[in-house]
Amino acid sequence: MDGIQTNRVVYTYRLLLAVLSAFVALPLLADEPATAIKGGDLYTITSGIIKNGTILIEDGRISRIGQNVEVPKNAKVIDARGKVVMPGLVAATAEVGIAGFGSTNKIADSLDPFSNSVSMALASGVTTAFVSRGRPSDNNPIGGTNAVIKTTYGDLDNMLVREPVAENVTISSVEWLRKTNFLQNLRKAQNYLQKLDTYTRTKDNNRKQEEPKKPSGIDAYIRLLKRQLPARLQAATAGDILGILELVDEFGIRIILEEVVEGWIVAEEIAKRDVCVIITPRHKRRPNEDISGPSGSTLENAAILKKAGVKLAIVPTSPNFATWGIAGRDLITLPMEAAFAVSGGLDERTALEAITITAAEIIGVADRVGSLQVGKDADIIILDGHPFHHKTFVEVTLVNGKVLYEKKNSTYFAHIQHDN
Amino acid sequence: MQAAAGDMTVIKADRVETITSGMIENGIIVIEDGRIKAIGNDVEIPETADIIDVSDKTVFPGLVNPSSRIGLSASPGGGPSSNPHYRIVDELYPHQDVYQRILRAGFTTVGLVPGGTGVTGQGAIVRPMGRKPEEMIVAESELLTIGFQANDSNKKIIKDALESAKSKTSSSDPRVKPLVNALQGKVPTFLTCRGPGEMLHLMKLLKPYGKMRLVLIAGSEKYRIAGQLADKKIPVVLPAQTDFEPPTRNRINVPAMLADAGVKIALRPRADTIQGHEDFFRQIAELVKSGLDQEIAKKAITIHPAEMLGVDYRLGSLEAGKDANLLILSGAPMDVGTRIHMVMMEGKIVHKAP
Amino acid sequence: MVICLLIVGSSNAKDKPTSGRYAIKAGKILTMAPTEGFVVGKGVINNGIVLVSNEKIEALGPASSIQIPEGYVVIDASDRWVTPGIVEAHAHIGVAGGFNDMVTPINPELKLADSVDPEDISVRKGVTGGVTTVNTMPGSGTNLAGFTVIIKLDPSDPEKMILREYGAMKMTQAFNPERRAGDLGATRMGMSWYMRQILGQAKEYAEAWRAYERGERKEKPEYKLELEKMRKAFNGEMPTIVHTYSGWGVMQTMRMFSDENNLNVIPTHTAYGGYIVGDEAAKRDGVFINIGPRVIEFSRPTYDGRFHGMGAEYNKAGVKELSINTDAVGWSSFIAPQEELSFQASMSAHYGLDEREALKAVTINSARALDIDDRVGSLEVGKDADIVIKRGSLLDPATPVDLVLINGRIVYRRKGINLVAK
Repeated sequence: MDGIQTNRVVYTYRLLLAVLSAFVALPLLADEPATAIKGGDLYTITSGIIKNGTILIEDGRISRIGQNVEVPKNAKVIDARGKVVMPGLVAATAEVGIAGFGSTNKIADSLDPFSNSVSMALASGVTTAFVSRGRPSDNNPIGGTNAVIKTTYGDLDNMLVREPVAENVTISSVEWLRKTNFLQNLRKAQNYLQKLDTYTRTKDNNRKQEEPKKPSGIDAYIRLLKRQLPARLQAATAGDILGILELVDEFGIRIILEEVVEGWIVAEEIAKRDVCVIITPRHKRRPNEDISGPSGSTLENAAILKKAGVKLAIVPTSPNFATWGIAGRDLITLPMEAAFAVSGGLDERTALEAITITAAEIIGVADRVGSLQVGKDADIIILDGHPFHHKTFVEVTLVNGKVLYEKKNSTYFAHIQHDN
Repeated sequence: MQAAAGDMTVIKADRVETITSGMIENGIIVIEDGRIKAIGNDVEIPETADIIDVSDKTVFPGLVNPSSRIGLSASPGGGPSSNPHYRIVDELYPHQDVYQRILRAGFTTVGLVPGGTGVTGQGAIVRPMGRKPEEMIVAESELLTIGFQANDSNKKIIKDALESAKSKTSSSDPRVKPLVNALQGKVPTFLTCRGPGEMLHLMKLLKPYGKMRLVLIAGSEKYRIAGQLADKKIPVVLPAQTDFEPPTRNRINVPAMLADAGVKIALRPRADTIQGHEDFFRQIAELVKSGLDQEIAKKAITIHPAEMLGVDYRLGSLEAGKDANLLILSGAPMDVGTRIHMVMMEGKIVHKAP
Repeated sequence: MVICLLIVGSSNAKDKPTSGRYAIKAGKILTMAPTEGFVVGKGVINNGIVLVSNEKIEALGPASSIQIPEGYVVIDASDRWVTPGIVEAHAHIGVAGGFNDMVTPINPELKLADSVDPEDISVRKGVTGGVTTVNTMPGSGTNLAGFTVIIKLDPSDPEKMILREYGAMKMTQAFNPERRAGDLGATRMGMSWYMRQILGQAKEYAEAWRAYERGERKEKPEYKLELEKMRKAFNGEMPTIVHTYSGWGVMQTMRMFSDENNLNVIPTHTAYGGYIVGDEAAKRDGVFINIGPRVIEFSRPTYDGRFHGMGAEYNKAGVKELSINTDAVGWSSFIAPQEELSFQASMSAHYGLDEREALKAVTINSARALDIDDRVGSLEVGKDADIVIKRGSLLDPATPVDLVLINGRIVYRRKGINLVAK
């Protein structure tokens, strides 16, 4: 660590090292030996499937991927022959890692790396999650905080990726006062920004001008207008969705829509505004008998949205890790929800992306996670079968290059062996 | 050793557990003016001394419970606040059976602490006897307590308090001085929090204040951060019980686990009640039986808590110069059949079994 | 002549639709026939044909062995799996008007057949998941809720919808009917008393009538309307299905119904650690364990930190005819809706239940438990033509159901899919 050593031996050693490092893709800077995952089918997500491939991990990142990767002698080798190797799953919404610390205004201050939910997330292959705390209250449409975290069991320092990554907004046709407030504040902020812009451009010519005073309570709206953060909203029905899309038209803000149960009815409209959606394929909504057009939920929601060009992430009905007895409806089996989207006509590739890279893009951390690519965090899961097969289990989970879960050493699922 | 004139008592015992210098057989303790003047098995007995001949019994130091709220009023509720000026000393109620009872159970020193969250105030180190609060207080130096929960408001209150006191080292403001003393390490700081994750937050928060003498009080599953606690040399006070390893019914011995990892531990009663104190020796024996090293167990109820309280210069072991706080037991301390025959506080017999 | 009939049938829209005559070309047939297992050539037929006529399975076998008669409409499923319609042993769908009359804890007079509602959304949604037969039930608010009704999910002919008017006698051991108004039945003692009392009365009543009908008894027994329906259960005309939980509950159910009263009993739910007495269930003929909607137990009742698959545990203990349910009520995402009964089986397989057992658990085993296996639950000649066609195993959530027939009639066709030859 200390670079002020002038010892000749050290100097020579370092020179040698520098020379040698020219022959590998990334220099071996790590104090810790490298890790190599060898022999599995690598589902890179962004560059197809590499059969019988090897991933080299150094310093917590993916340093090489391919079929003929040279592995350093002292590397720790994980045998993945016959297995599927994927990036760790990304939950676009989750209740994980901040259990039971009461209310908080900052998730970073309340992360619990020892929470049971973190253990279960690792066992389920979920390595990155969007979490939120606090809600908009009363007639205030923006409120609470949110963050992207990693399931780094035992390690508080590396748990937070970013806070916040969006503005939590709640407006709907039911809470009319909130929508009014939202619009008025946006307009107020827009007005202020226009005045500020005029002032800035003309102040040299017009020194008598006073700088416009910023109205109170509009900082979040300014962030939205400047597109620094997206707004995350829920809208289930076609009508509600269209109402939200008007906001994009008027204010140019970035929007992430949750629920979107009737998205399939207005898919083209959503695509036009470049709005991202987070959906649950099995979400049920009865058709509305009072309207003449199409309505209600359908398993084909994802396929239709994708066809129109809408970017989508998939989350389960219960965005948590359920131990009360119901199986297959929560984050323990996240890939199953994506499998149902496939049964509704979504192509397998997009379905996989919806729980990895696209989810990462939507929550704003695709630079770091969501695919097997050189330079990305070594958040990797090794599965004993195709992710959409109903009997597949996660066997190994790595986060930042460290093995944090092994099925055979955990009480959860070690006793379940499948022969076929 | 030569003994001088004065108010002298001599104890002749079968065995004397000094804690810091091993066990003395056929031990003799010379006590003058409430302090141990000489101790050994080759000590000259002054002629004028009162002799307590318990040559079939074992002498053990008086027990030290470093963190208790026994005999105090209810903890404050509500959100975190900063009350460094709040002193347990101002809240003592000596006229309670409770102190008599725990004294008879062998406790000669107790650290009484405030409850609540935030910077909760100053604890007091007391002897569980006396008619007036002043008679209970053992030492001038007290201790600072912090009740922590991992959220931003709690962190802010603690951080603000410490930051504002950092530069006011010569202040005599009762709201500032206790913080300064804690920051300079003059008094220990007792920390409570719940899980191991929460402790990581707290350690991070207090990292800039390297001189603070931190002591962690209880909470759940601290064995998960045993390595970090050992690294930072943070001692831990634990209730004398075995736990279930969640979510199973496998018994784990957390005191043993922490001790094995190199953490200094103290043990306090499983429940902060009279019964908890009266049952303490049996609780310790249970822990030893399920894997806690016996010598560490003995230290955990005497010298370690004394060190954590900062009063080891006078308490926690049987050594020349220290207070004559001791128990005369009918047998080895961890034996099931052992009873307390006598309790001596600063040279005076304050309890004798009928 | 066949052509004329077809034209007449299709031109008269007011006629109730009738079953057609179909020849289904199947890539793979899983018959679920109980004696045939999953042996290729017997229970599993690759490249087979199923012939449907008069609402029944007329013939089935390898394509080489079956000649398609003239006039049969061909359904081309040659790249798909053909399986029996899925049978649900425990749900609360297809009815309207409530399922818990809770004034008294014992209601032997009530039958849910009076409340069948063909318009219920779960009826048409259920077939999208391949469910064709459902034992739909009164609730668990009382110790004896009444009698269930077994329906087919084909609302086109309400008369035909009911497979059996008295499906099963529905009772509840505990964990819901506990009385809260200060009357007897607040405790397990009280509830057990109510149940034994009524069972005892019904048993005696049934025996008296049996004796009279056999000529062993001269005096005609007094006719008691409220016990008449229970008589059918004691005559073996239907099983008793009992909502029960925990090791205690499952044992109590087996004891009370099987051991003491010789009734065929379906202990249903059985969560909260009930699987721990699986070996006792395995010992008893006439006990048919039915699990759901919970199919896993975390760390319970064992405190071992494991996710126990209830199905796997029962199977391990020797339970042979395990069935799985959804307990579907309404139509929601929070717990399994009717159409996801196969997914309940998928999850049971995920958590360790042998895949073949999981398939049986939602077809032939449910049918056996309900004593309707003469009609449904497997593809065998003479049984109802309730058939599911999909590209992939019933347990595969990534492949949708493409076509469903009930009683030889196409009741569901996935949008954009037409397997029926012109």
